[in-house]
Amino acid sequence: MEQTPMTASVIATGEAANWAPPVTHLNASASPPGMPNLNVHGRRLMGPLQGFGQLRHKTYNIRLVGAQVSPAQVITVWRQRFASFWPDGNHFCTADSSIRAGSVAFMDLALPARMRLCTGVLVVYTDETSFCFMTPEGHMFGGLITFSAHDEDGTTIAQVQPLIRAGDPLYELTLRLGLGGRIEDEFWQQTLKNLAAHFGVQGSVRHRSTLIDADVQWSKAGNIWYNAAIRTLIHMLALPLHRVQRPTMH
Amino acid sequence: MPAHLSPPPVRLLLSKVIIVTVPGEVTEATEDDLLDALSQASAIGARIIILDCSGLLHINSYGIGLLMMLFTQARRRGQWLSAYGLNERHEKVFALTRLSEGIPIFPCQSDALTAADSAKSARS
Repeated sequence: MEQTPMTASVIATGEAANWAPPVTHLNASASPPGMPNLNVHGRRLMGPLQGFGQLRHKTYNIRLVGAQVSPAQVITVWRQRFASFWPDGNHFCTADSSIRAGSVAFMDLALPARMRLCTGVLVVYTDETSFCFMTPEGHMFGGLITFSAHDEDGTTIAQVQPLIRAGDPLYELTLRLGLGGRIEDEFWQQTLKNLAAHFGVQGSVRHRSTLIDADVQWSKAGNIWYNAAIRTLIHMLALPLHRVQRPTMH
Repeated sequence: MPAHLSPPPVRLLLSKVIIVTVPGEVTEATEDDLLDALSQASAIGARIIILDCSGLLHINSYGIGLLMMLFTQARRRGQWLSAYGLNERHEKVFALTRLSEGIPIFPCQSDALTAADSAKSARS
């Protein structure tokens, strides 16, 4: 069977190491200090086939013009300093501060009206020029989010590609109203600009969105039971003496 | 630049049952080849598409996403998609990503065909 150099290289280095081992439920009984452990432990993964809303394939990318950095170097730095590139007010961490296949990550996200959303992701795949998250039940999206870098005409391009459905009818409603999509767009645009700034360059983020499936999956409407935004709000209201602490470092 | 791969062969096995041979790698590099093969299968009038994954050596996260999109598009066209021949490692990837809930996987072509025959009967 004809192989590309990529295939031969992956096989030689052992592809088994690139994918996370199969799990039925996320095992995240303890979160790092200062990071809420909400809506992660015990949740099933929720991919594009298990989400509720319309299926979209999005691409956000930025050309690192003037940065003498290879795609592999970009991914190395991105994995090492992932949380530091997120917009202010949003927090991300893994138990061992690394992004590797099988890592469970915790997220504490800023929403409008000073609300918070606590959820997580599983790192399902890593290789030299990319890594990929898969979302759990309750997350805003059911999907895969791939972070990658590649060379285009001698310039390294950093890219975020979500393949996502809104997780449940409430999230889908925010997208249809334009609010959720705008928040997501701004989030990844800022993240990529922060990444570019790390390499000493600026640029504009290109954005493309393709509607793969315009239909919602009504059979998945029950996902709302795990809605992380609702559950985070209930947690905060029910335990007034429990402060959702912010981590002191990224 | 990756070496150019020939488009995966599309074989008409039974009436409206098509087998598509999946390339050795399913990544960004082979996206167009796989899309072309499935378009060809649809053009022939396939109602059941079986992916022959016995030669699959490498699939990355983009490739898994690609199969998810293809499954979704096939379902919208009323087509039934399945796969056979995955090695144990890739079966685990399908399970991890829950892709197997959309594309059922079988150990061999005969099992896939038996299931396809049942699916075809259910549709008629």
